[in-house]
Amino acid sequence: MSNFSGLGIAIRGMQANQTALEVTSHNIANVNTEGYTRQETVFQTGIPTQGTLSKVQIGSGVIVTDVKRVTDIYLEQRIQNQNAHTSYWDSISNILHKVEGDIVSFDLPKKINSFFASWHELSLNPETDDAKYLVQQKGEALVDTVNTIRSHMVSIQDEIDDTTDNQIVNTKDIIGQINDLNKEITFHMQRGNTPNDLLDKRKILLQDLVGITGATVTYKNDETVTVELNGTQLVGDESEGQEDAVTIDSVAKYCSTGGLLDVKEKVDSYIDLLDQFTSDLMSTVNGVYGNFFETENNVLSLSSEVENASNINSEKALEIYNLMSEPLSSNQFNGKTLNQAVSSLLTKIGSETKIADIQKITNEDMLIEMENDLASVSGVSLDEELSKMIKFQRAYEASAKMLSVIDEMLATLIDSVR
Amino acid sequence: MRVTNAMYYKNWLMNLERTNERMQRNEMMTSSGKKILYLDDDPTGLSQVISIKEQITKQEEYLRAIDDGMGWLNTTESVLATVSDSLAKAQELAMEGANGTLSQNEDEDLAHHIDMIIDDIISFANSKYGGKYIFSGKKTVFNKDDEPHMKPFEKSANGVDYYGTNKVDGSINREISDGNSVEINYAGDELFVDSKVFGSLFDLKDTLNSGDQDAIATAIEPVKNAFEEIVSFRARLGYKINNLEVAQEQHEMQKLNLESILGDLEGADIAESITNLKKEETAYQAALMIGSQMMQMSLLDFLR
Repeated sequence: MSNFSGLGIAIRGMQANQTALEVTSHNIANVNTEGYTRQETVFQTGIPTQGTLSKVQIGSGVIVTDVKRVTDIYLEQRIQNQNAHTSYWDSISNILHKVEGDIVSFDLPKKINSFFASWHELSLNPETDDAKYLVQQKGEALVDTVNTIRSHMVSIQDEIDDTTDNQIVNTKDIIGQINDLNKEITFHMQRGNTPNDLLDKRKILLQDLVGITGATVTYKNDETVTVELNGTQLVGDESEGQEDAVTIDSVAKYCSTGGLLDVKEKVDSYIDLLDQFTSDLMSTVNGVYGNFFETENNVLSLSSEVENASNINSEKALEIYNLMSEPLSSNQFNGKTLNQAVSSLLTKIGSETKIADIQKITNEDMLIEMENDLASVSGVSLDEELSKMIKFQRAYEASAKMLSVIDEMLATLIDSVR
Repeated sequence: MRVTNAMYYKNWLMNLERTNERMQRNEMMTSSGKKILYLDDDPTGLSQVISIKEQITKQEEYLRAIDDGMGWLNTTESVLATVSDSLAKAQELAMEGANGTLSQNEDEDLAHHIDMIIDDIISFANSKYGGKYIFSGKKTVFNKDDEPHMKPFEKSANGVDYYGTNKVDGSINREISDGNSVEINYAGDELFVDSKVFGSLFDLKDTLNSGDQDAIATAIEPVKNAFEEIVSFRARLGYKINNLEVAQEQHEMQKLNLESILGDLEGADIAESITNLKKEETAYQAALMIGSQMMQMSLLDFLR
């Protein structure tokens, strides 16, 4: 055994603890970084040397074998999938809240009631133009409300289209980045390095991609991943994946895009119901009056005949008023009054929104639960890092002290020789 | 479980957010006084609310029709009261004339008096309610097209002419409850022409002018008959008004009932929502306090 091996042990001890301090510092610095996985320095005893004077083996100090990410890969995958489910319901709930907010503020049932009440007023005062103006005004208000609700729904659909288009364009970028990261990770892994921060970066991108498209991620042993969507490889292991393979038709149901597509269908069905209501309103009133309402390209209006209020015919005013409680005969609203028709539309929107909300909160809670589980494993705890900091600092100090002790020891030896 | 910093902040924030959301909902309920703010608050309750509002509209319109009908009938009633008084007065004058003690001049004075009564009754027969002639049948308004006759009753040389529509041509009705409508007008022909109100008075006037005692005595009878006709119209009218009043009361009761149901369905219980609001406020404050204390705690404070 060399007299100088003690120096080596002390220096390696200082180096190892310095590395550990750096890792701790990195952890502390990233305590607020989204998706960051805490890293841990793995120490190992160095290869022991055979003592020259005895048969005992003497340790050679410490070496750092790895800086590893502390994570649970299965939990990460479950979070990816749960996040896709949560995004699905989140999209639906968001859009439905926009739809219902508009409708409540327009208060369609009130407009229907006052429209028909104005006909009753006209039946009481058929001679005066005042009552006719009232009918015209209330008619306009009803027409405006129906049209505005419809156009808001249509513009919400346009918004959905824009968002889905943007999201799908975005996936191309994300897939490209994942492909690049995959290559970089392989490069480092082949050289025996663990590219921890790249793995974190990829984890975030994968979660985004799965959230938007619902794609399936497969993890390989060598830390590379493949991503598959509807039979197409977006990220391949050997060959490059197809970056622009994501389309509206290929996305899975449970993801934010899938949610947008489903909620668009729901809004479609609301528009259909509203159109049915409009056509029932028109045919019912026109059936008695003649030509009161008109529609063109799904836009309801008063007929040109009654644009001039004094032309309104008051003969059948009472009969028209009574239409308010008359059952309709269309397939959709058979046996319902106009008010009940609107009420069935509103109830449909309301209950679907309620279901989406409940689903959203349930899924959100599940996601949070999983994220907490993962954070519990891989999140940074400042108190813990600080205690480690002291631990490594002390070890570093002790190793340094060892160095000076050995130095003194050698000085004694050298002095005695002189 | 290992609790990490990010986890701690995230959970704390999320709970704070949810408390905040509940607090805001309660605040909106309290300030708007409504329980159903959005469609998803209570979808089935909402459809009940819509149907009750429709029923309230119907009750309001019934009340509106009854109010209007009452206006017509009350005006009619007061006109008929005056007309019957005038006819009674005419009978008195006729009695005086039939006495035989009056001179020709005095008879002519009486005739002149009757003429004034006729004018009075004509002006009453031309009464309006809400800008509409009430004894003119369905023709309640006269305009340029009707020149030169601009009123339902106009005096001519030998009588009073009626330009409104007749009872058989239709009446004005008000629906006072489901399927129950009430006539609210008396056409001029049945009230004044058929009952010979003007005819009998004109005859009386002519006989008074002629001074023929016997003729005057016989001319009293038709006036008396006309008077009795009007009185019997009044009696029937009273019955009708009574009917309307009963219906009015019923609809008001129903409306009140519906409004109280509506209040239960969509109205927020203010006491409850304020209590809830206070509760959420307390929870919010507690969360803030705990958060501010817990977040301060760190090993850092003890390291030099």
